[in-house]
Amino acid sequence: MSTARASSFNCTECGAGLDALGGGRVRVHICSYCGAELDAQDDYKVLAKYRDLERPASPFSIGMTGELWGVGFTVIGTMAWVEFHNGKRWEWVNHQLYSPTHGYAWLTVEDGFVTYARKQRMASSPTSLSESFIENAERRPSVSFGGQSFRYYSSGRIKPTFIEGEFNYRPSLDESARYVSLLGHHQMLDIIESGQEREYELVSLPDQAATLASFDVPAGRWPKPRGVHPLQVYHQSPFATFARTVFFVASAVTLLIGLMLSGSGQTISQSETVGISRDVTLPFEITNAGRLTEIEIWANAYNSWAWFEAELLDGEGEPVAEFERGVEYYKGSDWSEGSQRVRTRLHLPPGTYELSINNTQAVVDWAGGTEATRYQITVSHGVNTTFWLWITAVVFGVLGLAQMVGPVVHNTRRMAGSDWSDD
Amino acid sequence: MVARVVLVVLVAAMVGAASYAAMRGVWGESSSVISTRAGSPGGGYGVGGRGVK
Amino acid sequence: MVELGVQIEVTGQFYLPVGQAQFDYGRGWWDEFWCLNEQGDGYWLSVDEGDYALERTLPRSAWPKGFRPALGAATEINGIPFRVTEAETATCSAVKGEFPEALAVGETHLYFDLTGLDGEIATCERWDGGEAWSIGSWIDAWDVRRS
Repeated sequence: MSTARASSFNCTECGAGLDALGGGRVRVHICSYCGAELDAQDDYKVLAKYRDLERPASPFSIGMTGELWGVGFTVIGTMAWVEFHNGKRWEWVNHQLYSPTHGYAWLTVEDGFVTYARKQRMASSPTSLSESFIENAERRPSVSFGGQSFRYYSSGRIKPTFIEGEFNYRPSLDESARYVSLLGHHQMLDIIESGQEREYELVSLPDQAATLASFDVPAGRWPKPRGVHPLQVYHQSPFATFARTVFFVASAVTLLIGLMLSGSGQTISQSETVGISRDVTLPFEITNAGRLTEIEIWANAYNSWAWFEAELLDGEGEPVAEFERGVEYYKGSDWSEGSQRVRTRLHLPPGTYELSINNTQAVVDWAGGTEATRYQITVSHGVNTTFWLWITAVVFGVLGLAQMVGPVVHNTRRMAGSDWSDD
Repeated sequence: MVARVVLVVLVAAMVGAASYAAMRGVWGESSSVISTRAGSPGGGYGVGGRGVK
Repeated sequence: MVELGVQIEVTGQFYLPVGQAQFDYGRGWWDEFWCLNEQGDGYWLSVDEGDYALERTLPRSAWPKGFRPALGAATEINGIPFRVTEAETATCSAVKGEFPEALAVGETHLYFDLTGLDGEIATCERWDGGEAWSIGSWIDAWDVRRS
């Protein structure tokens, strides 16, 4: 395993004791005490001096060690950055990390979130998105990187404002950089351009609490996240996911039962088709308690109506119920109204019954109408009121959909920090 | 786990109740039917599935 | 993470390190592992503080012509443009296992790392009386797994 010789040395400028934590590939070491930039590859010769830089607030400091996805890292450097856009100012802190097995990386604290970024040696396709390309794009641009698609999130110009510790390259405080941030499924891709250089970094969001705890960040210094990070995946509680499934299944099952129960029951008695002026007497017997009985009158009314009076007697000839019903049916070239059938539903206890229809009338009240000439009575039993099932199916469907509102809201908030607008 | 069982039982009970109400024809009687049996209280039409008195 | 005789997996491919050479560059050292894949083909896996690269030996016929051994120098290998990004003098400090070439402890090697635009790497190695080239690609440390 490759490693570097851990060592301490004295700043060649101010004499302060400094620790070399960052392995053999460290290029420069900026003294925490005097701001001298020392050449780590050449006996710590003084390369430059940074004076009066304002140290940014960060939960991390040089020398802290912790784990990210099970790999140990040491914080070896600190850099503060600023971005100005439309009169607003954003600030964040990058810490250079070092691991003997996973090399150099960045730990970034921005908007209260801690992210991990590592440099990539591949290029995206297209290799970058220019300012004018983003400006003129009709739809949110995207690039392909390592077989994955990354959608444009934001871009801008950034400038470092503070520097301290060890770095595996020579950062410059004077040079500004342009960045383009793109959002993939689990990672963000940052394309950073400064001078002639173009760098690609993949950004991941580690478990925040585990990371802070692993680096032994004191509880009082834990950053407070603002909003939702674009890499934050929606964590629906397993119960909500389960409930959603239950509701959708219940909705489907209820619909199915509804379809099975629709229809008009079993015909238990049917009259002949008779002339409209004739009376009909139709006996029938109910054997089953607690189900609906349906009396259907059909008449061949066409652009006309017909009127019927019905009386229902029980086995002893006692009247049970009476009702009046009209059949109305109108039809044009592209419309129709009413129906040639009219239905009446009753709850009847078991027993024998006799239905008599009399005082029928047929009237034409529409141009081109024909008077109803014939009618027929059908009695069926065991008709279901399926609307109970339709209501239940809708209620469960809505409850299931309600479980999906959370992810939609969350995704909107994830994209809230994007500077892309579809207008 | 208990919550899941309770949810499934509740949902199943509601589906069952809806199916039962549908098959019993609850609230399925036509309006404007006059009960003519003597002594029928209020002339109402057997609401509640007890049929015509 | 990489150890002699322990098979590793890199993006679905398996490699068995059979030889390990350590090169000291003063401030630290790095390892060169001679690895065999499942077909028995040999690869150099260099492991340097989280920078992993997997390379095959480049036949003499493909060596770039007129290569200028200096930082930033541009050249072309197999039609791919490369630029020298690293130049280092290192001493072979330890040797274990099998290699396709003789390596002697204490021998000083001059290394040039060349980087392509899309993750390609080429290495030119020079020592007393010899020169060797290899070509391959950088590997993300998170893609290297012991299997």
